Amino acid sequence: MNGIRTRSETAFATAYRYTSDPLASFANGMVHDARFAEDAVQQAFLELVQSAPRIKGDGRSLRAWLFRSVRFTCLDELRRRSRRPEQLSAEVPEVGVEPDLPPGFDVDPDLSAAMAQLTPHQRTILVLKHVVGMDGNEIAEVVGGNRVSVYAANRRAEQRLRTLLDGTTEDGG
Amino acid sequence: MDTRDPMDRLSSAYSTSVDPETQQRHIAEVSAAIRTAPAVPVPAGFGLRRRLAAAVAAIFIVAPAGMAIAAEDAVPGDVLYPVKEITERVRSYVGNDVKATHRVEEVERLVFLRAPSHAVERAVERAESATVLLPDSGELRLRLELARERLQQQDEERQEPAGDGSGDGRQESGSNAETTGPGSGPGTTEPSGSNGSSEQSQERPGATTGTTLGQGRADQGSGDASGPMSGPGEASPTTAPRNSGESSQS
Repeated sequence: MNGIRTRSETAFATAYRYTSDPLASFANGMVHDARFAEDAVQQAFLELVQSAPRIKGDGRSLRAWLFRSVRFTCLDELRRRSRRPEQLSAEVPEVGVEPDLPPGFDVDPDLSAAMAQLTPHQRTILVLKHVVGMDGNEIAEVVGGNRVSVYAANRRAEQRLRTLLDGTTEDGG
Repeated sequence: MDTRDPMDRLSSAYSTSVDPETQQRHIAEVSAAIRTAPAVPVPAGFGLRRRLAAAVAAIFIVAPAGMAIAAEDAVPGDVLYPVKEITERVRSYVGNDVKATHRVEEVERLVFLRAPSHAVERAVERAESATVLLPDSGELRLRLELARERLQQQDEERQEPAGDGSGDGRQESGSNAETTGPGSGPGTTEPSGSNGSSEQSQERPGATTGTTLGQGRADQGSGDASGPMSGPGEASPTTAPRNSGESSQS
């Protein structure tokens, strides 16, 4: 953490290797765009270079800081895409699903259609919990609020996602 | 269709890994950004924000306190006089004699500074109106009376513009304080002493001794070591007050 504050290049490289995959997964879950996810991770680290001396706390808070940065980048991107509806695909009105997904990227079309109907906040919590694997406290550090409010929001989001998926498939179990 | 739990499907659908090539490129770009980033000095230990807070506290707490202390000696017309009025208003919630004491002190100070007579007169008026409200303002009234006598003497000095210097005049006022000085002995105990002290100088040569005068002399006698030794003769009324006055002044 001191290496980050003093902008040591090796410290940044280590932090990048440890966090780039979870960050990219998070961004991908938010915007559903693998290429944008990589850019968002890069963006977060470039911002970190600027504000590294002002970050307080340990590695855990650094991780939360990076996720917050990616979260804001994704929310900006979602707003930007919703303002330009021509980029959106027909079946998902709010969020853009890239028509040309990278080859080899296994997408679950039903799931992404359902995810697209959730609010960005619900999606954030679901992705952080089930894709990144954060616990309630960590999620609260990223999105604000406390553990209890995160649990409540997560329960609502899970319910909504299940109902949405039940509309398209049989009972998921 | 997919029969897995939706939350498991989330993980498999969105888990992303940045491929090593992109990672290398990103790390290189971040390193470049580090090299071009402007150096931000990290404030060590005593943080910048804390230092700022200390400065603000100094301005908003220490400065008014110093101002209030400095304003204690202010007289009407001074720059800090409004500050004194404010602190006075606050302090009057605790004790109601603060106002009157201040007014009398101002009169004394103005007399001492030989301020123009109209300023002193206005201060005397304010002091009188302040002391009237107090139930036991005997000492303050006496001090006011003394200051007023001094003021009269100063006026007389001003009216006869003789060649004697200011040093001589100060000597005059000093001797005046000696004659009126003993009056303050009984004056502190009873409020009517202010009248007695002014009459004292006229009555002293005569053989008639009032009750207040007798008390005053008894006090002086106990103060003086030679008091009991000398009999109640005719020499003591003139010498004893002088001595005691000088001893109390020095």
